[in-house]
Amino acid sequence: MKIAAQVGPRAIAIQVERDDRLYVVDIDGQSHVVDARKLEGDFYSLLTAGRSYEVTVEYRADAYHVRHGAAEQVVRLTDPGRKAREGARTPGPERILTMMPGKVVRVLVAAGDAVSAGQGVVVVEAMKMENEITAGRAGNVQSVEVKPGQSVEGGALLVIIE
Amino acid sequence: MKPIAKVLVANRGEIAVRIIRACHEMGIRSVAVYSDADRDALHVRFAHEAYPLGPPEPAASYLNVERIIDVARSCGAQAIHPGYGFLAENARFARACGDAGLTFIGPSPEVLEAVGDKVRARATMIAAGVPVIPGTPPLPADPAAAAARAAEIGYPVLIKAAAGGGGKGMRVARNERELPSLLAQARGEARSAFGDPTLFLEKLIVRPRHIEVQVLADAHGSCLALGERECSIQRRHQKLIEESPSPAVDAATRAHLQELAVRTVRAVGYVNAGTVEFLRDADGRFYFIEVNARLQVEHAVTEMVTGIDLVRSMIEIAGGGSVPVRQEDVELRGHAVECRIVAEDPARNFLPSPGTIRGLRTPSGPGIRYDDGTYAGWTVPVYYDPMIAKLVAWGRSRGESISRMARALDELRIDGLTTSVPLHRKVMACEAFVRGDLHTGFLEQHPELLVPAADPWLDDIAVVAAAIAHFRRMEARSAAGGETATTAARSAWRWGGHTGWRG
Repeated sequence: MKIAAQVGPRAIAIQVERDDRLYVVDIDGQSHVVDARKLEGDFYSLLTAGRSYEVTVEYRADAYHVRHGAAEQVVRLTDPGRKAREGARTPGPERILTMMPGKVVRVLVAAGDAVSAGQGVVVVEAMKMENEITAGRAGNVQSVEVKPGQSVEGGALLVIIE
Repeated sequence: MKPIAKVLVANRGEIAVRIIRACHEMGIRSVAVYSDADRDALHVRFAHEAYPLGPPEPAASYLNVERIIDVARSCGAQAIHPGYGFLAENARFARACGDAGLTFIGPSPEVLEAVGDKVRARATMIAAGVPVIPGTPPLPADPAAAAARAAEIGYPVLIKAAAGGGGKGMRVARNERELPSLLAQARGEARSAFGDPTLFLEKLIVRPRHIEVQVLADAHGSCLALGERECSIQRRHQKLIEESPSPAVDAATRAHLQELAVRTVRAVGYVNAGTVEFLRDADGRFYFIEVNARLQVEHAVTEMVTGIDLVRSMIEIAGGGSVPVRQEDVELRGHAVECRIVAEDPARNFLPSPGTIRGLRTPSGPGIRYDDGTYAGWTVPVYYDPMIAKLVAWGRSRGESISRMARALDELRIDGLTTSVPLHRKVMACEAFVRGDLHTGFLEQHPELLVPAADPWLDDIAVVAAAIAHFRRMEARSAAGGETATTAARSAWRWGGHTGWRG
């Protein structure tokens, strides 16, 4: 399997094959033979060239977040074929949700407003704190689905951006 | 007084588990209470008995005085331990317990009122000769008279608007020369912001350290001071890392602080466990801030260095017993440090990060104590405080406890949530922290600690790990007969991106 990935500004070409319990991972032409075990949760134990690594690998938002102790490395997938497949499935407006229940404290945008990526749209209070929910991409606000003071469930739709 | 054979724990999370453990060690039956959001919580599973309180909102559950008293009476508990937060310093609750024939495990309602009123507590401490942050009454309009007041309390001084708030009308004057013009500016700002130009002065505490003394007093006249804790590493004015003893306190200073703390609690007739909080300025002077009339989150570091079980002592004292040792037998051994593990993202202004714990490995080994209320598979509710665990390390020296803490943080894995673990790990390696150069603005001064670090070790293996994880995911996906649905829904929440994916 060929994978195109990016770490920071660096583009990386990866090839992965499995040989029974071992993985052969080629990174930019350099080969690593890895005995990899997925343990509980997102923990991986990796043995390669006599070295033992234990890392946590979480996948979210098209990227693998690899952590150990205080360090984190984000490996972003850039496979063009994959982008095209997933891109075709997810056209249309962006629906901004809150993933946890709470109370809407403030609504920062109105229908028709232009928003930029990362701009705050709604402030939800949860865990005794106020949290600003932001737009994932730039666009125009199609509709605002909540009002200040309203309680929202996890997964509730807040704002639609077109 | 009825002997205490059954205790209701009016709290949740790690502190409820901590109190239940003490009860079980004492042969006391434990009673948990829980909100609808906490049916699956660990404290409910640990207790001998458990009763529902109602809806998740604290006002309807853990703050519901009438319901909690009803449960305690109907289940036959003799006493209630309030933990910290919620009803712990609520005089009305303590009084309602007494009226219902229940023992409140904590100070009397009268003491809670006396120390809970900040203005009254300050006046009591001034009368008892305990130093408070120097301040003035409202200033006269004459600048020369104001300068005389400023000289009395010492520079730098903070100029504050009497009607103030939100920083309006506030100025820092570093010397007598700049005082008059700053007073004029502040007066003008106060007049336009509040319609009242009245100002007063307070001594500005430069690079303050937060240092507090644990006390334990019984109803027979004994009052122990159990050393100090330093809690200067804070975010949003809430403590994040605590230790005992403080690197800024020597034996003579400790004796002085302990004497001040005992004088403070004796001034209000305090019985049971409490904490007297002080600020230490850059010149080593201490100022009383307040009394915390409850068990503190950070009580564990004191337990590690004194060997005294504070929760057990609280229950014994509430039942009419005595403090466990004499003051001269209190021995502070070694050093302990505590990290509060919170479900927050330090890199994003400590944004709360509740969610489901997918994988958990807790640290252990020499000198390590891990107090929590979590388990793998448990979902952290959004209704309550984001603190999910306390990791405590003990060592013969401060250096040893810090190296043990660093090692334990490397062992601790909490999957599924963003937590403060990486921040704690970086603080343990931070030269200023190791040197003991602490103050309450430490994290603002070291913003590099808030973001994940680069690590050559991880750089070597991260791409390999990600590639293998991706390969396995694709393999599982084709084995399942095609691609699983993903969602176009996105939000800034860090867990927003992996909706529907469970690896």
